[in-house]
Amino acid sequence: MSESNKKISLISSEGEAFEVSEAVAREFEIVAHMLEDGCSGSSIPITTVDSNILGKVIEYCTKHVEVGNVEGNSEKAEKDLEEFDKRFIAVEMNTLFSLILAANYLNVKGLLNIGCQKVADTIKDMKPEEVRSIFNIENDYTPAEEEVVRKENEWAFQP
Amino acid sequence: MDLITEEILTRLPVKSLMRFKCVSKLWLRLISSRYFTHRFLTVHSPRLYMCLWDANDYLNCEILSSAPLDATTTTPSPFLVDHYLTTPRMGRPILQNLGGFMCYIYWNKPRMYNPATRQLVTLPFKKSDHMIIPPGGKISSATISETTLLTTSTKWSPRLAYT
Repeated sequence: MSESNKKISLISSEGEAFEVSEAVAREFEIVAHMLEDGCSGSSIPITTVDSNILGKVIEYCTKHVEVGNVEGNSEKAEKDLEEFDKRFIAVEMNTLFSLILAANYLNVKGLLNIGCQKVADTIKDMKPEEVRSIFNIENDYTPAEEEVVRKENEWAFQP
Repeated sequence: MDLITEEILTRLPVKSLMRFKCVSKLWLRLISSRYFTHRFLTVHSPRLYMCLWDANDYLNCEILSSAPLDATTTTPSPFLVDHYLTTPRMGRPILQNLGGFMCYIYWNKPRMYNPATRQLVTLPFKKSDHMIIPPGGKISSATISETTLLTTSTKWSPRLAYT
């Protein structure tokens, strides 16, 4: 595959360049579209994503491209990839949110999916108050209003 | 960020969603909206509900659910008896699956139960007036529109239930 030998530079918001193969860059759907639209420049600015997060997203895509290229023994490869994904998203909440936002912007569906699932799994047993603080949401209910909604869904508050 | 919030919420179990209606008015509106409910249905795999009756004592019934208690388990779980699901006195053995709701007649009044949210509503009319559900038969379109009205007015989040 001659295509995958071509290199493309992705430029983070700080201006740092990350050189990746075209196959990896194409994992970013937004970049794939640019390339298809004939945007042939070899460096693509990713202005909303910082170096730390861009590096991580590239790491994710590189791994997924690598595994996709391995022939045979697909079951083991899939297991490895699952393990990799699990480790990859085992990060603190702020980083996780940044990764999800970047995955959404760059349109990396696999990463968006595992990131959102991770947040969902983390918050699913939490109280509304805890969820508010994680999502930075201000409580706009009056205590009386909140009580009504709570009463309507009382079973959901039982363990 | 709103888009992301939505992506995350569609991956939560129903129980968490019902609890998170308390987070903010915006979340309440989103979770209760028809739009969200439809999205929710496309992300999650359908769940199975099963209702068992005691033939000698029709008040004695149990609803079983195959819904995984833990959203992280993707493997289909064996049927679980979920005591929270079982409403007191399910009533007569006419049970229909209507767009994910369980419908049955209780003291001559039709009742609808949403097993996903555990909400139970008794419809304010007699079964003979409006609602004729022949056992195993089809449900008339008039009934469906009643259901739609009910859904809007009581903020139910309909979920598919294959009974």
